[in-house]
Amino acid sequence: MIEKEDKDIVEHEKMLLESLKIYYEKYFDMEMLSKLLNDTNFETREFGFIRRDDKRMYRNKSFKEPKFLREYLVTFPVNHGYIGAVYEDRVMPAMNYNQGVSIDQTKWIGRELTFDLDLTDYDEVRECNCVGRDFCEICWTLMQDAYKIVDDTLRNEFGFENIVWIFSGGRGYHAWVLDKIVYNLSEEQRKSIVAYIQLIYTTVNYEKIEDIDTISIPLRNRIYRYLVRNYFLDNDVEYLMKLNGIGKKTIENVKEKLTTLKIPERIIPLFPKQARNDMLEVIIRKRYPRLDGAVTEGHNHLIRLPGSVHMGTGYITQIVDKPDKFQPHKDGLHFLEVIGKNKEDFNLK
Amino acid sequence: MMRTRFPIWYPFQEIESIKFKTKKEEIESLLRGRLLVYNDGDFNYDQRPDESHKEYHDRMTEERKSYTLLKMGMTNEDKEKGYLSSWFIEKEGDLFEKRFSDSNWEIKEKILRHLFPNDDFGQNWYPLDQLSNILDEKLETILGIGNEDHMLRKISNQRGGRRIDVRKGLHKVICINFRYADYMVRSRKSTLYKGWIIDNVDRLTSTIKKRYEDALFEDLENYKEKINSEAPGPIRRLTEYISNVLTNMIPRNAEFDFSNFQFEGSYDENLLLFPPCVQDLMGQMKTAGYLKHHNRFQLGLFLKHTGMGVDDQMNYWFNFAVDNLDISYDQFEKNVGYTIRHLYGMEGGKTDYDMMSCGTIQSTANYHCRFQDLKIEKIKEIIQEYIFSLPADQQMEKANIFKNKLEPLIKLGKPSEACAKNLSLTIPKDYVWERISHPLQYLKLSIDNSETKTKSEKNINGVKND
Repeated sequence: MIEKEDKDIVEHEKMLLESLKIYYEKYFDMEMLSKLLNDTNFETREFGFIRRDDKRMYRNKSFKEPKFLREYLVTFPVNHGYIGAVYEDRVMPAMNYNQGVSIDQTKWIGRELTFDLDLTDYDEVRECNCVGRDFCEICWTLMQDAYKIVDDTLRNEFGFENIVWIFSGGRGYHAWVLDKIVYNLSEEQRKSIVAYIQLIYTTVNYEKIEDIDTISIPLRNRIYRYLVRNYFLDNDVEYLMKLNGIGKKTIENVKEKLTTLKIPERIIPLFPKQARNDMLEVIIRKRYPRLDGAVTEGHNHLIRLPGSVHMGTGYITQIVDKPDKFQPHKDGLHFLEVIGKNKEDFNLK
Repeated sequence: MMRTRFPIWYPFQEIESIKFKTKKEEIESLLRGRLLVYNDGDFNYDQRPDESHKEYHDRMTEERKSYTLLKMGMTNEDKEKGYLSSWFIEKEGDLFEKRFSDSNWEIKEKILRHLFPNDDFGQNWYPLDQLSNILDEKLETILGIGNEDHMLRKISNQRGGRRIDVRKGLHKVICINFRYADYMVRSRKSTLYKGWIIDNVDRLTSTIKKRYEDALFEDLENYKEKINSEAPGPIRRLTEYISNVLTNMIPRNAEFDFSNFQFEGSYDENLLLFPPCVQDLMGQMKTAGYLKHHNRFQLGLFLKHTGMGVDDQMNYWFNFAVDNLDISYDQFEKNVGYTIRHLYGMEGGKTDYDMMSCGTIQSTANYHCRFQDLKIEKIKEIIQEYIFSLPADQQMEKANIFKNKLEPLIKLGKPSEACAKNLSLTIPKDYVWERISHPLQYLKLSIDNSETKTKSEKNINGVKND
C-alpha cells in the first residue's frame, strides 16, 4: 500500500515537472520580458532561482541571450525565478575551479524601480479570516487600494508615466516603473521615494503610524479619495461609530454626501477637526499600502521574474492591465491551464 | 542687455590667472585669512561703503588667492589618511550657503544654472513659470499659490504648516528635479509635483549647498589628478609645502582627544553623553545584534576615539552578536572582526582612521545622522521616551526645549543645528552652541557641561580621581 502511494507521488511529481517544462518551452513569454527590460544589458543582468530538486537558492546567474534563460528554465525544475539588477560585468556563480563573479565583485549599473506589496504584511489588520498565504476577495481589496495609492503617487508626485503592474503569482502586486530616469537612481534616491510614500513602520512586534501632520496634502487627499471614501461606503453606521469623536449624524451625513460628491476629499470639512487625525490613523493602519522597502531600495534585492511560475500556487507572474479590477482566483493565469491541463488534477503543496 | 557674471567668490568659473609671488609668509598669511573667514563667518564680498575700489579689488584678489592655495594644499593629501579634503569641503560648503543666501536673485539664478546642469533628461532646475511651460500646466493654480480659487490651495504640499513661500515673489519659487533633492523628498518638507521639488529658493539652500559640495568634491578630485600628473616640480613642491602648513594649522581633531579618558561606569551608563547618532547605533546594536558595514565603521571609530581598545571593542560587539544572533565566534570573526581590527589600523591598508565629521556622515548615504535620517515622528518618540524618564520637575522644561527649539530645526532640515540643541536636553542648562560639526565635539561638550563635570575633567587630563 505504502509502496503504491510512493509510486503515485513519484508519478505526480514527474507529470508536474513535465508540465513545467512544457510551460517554459512553449508558453513562457520571452517577448513580454524583453519588452519589460527594454532589451537593456540583458547579458549582465542578474537572475536567481530556487530549484525544485534541492530547494536551494541559486544567485549570481546571468545569460548571454534570452534564449539561454529559457533553456535554463526548461532544463532545471525551478520553483521560483527571480530577476535583479544590471551590473558592469556578467555575474556567475563559483563552480569547480571557476571562482565566479558575484554581484559584490562588480559594479552596479542600474535597474528599474520596483515596489513589492504583499498581503502577508497585512495579517494584523485583515478582517476576514485569511492569514498568511490565504486570501479572499475581501482582503484582496487591500491590494487594489494599495495599487490606487501607489500608482497615483508615482504619477502625480514623481511624474512617472511608464508603470507596469504585475500580479506576483502569490498574494500581491509588484509595480515596475520603467521610465528611463529611474534606471540610474542611487539607493539613497530610491530610499527617499519609499520614505515619501511610506506611512507605516513595522518591525517585530512593533508598528507605528507616522504623525498625521507630517503627511503631505496630496497624500492626505489621496487617502480621503481612495480609502476614507470606501471605508465609509463599505461599512455600516454601527461599525463606523467605533471611530473616536465621530457621531452617528456625521457618519450619515458623510455617507449621503459621498454618493453625490465627485471629489471625495470635499468631505473633509464634514468631519470634526479634532477627530480627523485619529480617524485617519485608524484608516491608514487598516488600509494604507504596506511597502516592503528593501525591494525598492536595494540594488542587490531580487524580485520575481515576470512570466515565471510561482510554484507555491501554480499562478504565473503576469502583467495586469487593470489592477483595481483584477481578481487572482478568477483572472490569474495558472500554468497548468495555460498548457491545457486541469489544475485540480495536481497538488502543488 | 548686461549678462550677469558669477560673483568673484564662486570657484567654478574661468577667470584671468592670478599671479603672486610665493613667499612663505604671504602663503601662511593668506591661509590664515581664509581660516578666519571660515571661523568668523565674515562672508561679505560686496564693496563696503568705507572701502576704495582698490581696497575692494585687493580683498577680492586675496579671496581668490587664498581659495586657490587651499585647494592646492588638498592635492598633496594622502587619500587614505587624509582629512583635509573633507574639512575643506565642509567649510567651503558652509561659506557657500551663507554667501548664496546673501546674493541677489540674478546671481542665484546664474549659480543654479551651473550647479544643476542639463543631462540626458534635460534641465534639472527651472523657475516656476518655465516649468509651467514645460509641463504645459498652470502650476500657480494647481499648487494654489496664485490668486485662484481658495479651495485649490489645499492641493499644495504642506508639512507642519509649511506652504510654498511666495511672499518674496513668485519668480523666486524654483523647481529642482527630485533626484537632486532626496532629503526634501524624504522629509516631505517642500511641495513635490511631477518629479519636481518646488519651493522658494531660500528654503532650498540646504539642497543647493549639498549639490555645491558634490561639485566641489568632483572638482577637487579632477584637480588632484591634474596636479599629480601634469604639474611641474616647483608646483608640486609648493603643494607639499601648503599641505604641511595646513596640517599644522588644522590638527586632526586634536581638540577632541579622549585617548586618556576613562568613563565612570560602563558605556551603557554613559549613553546620554554620546551624540544622538551613536546612541541610535548602540541601541540598534543592542536590539538587533548587527549593524550594516558603514554603521559598524561609524560606531567602531567612535568607540575607538573614546579610548576603547581593540580587545574591549571585540568583546563589546561579540556580546551583542551572541545575545541576538546566536552565532559562533568564528562567524562573528568573519562578519565583524576584520572591520574592527581594520579601523585600528591592524588590517588592510593599516590606516589609523580618524572619526568622520558630521559633514561626512550627512553627505555619505550609509552613515547615520539621527536628525537627517530619521523621520521626525521617530525622533519625537525617542526624545519623549527620554523626557518621561526624567524627574517630573524637569520634564516640562525639556519638553518645551524640544517643541520650541529643537523640532523647528529638524523641520527646517538643519541636522547639525538640531544636534547642538539636542545637547540642551541632556545637560542642565539650555545650551547655545550654534551647530555640532563633529561627533566627538558633541561628546566633549556633553562631558564638559554634564553634572559629573569635575570627575570627567580630571579623567580627561589623565589624572586619577582619588
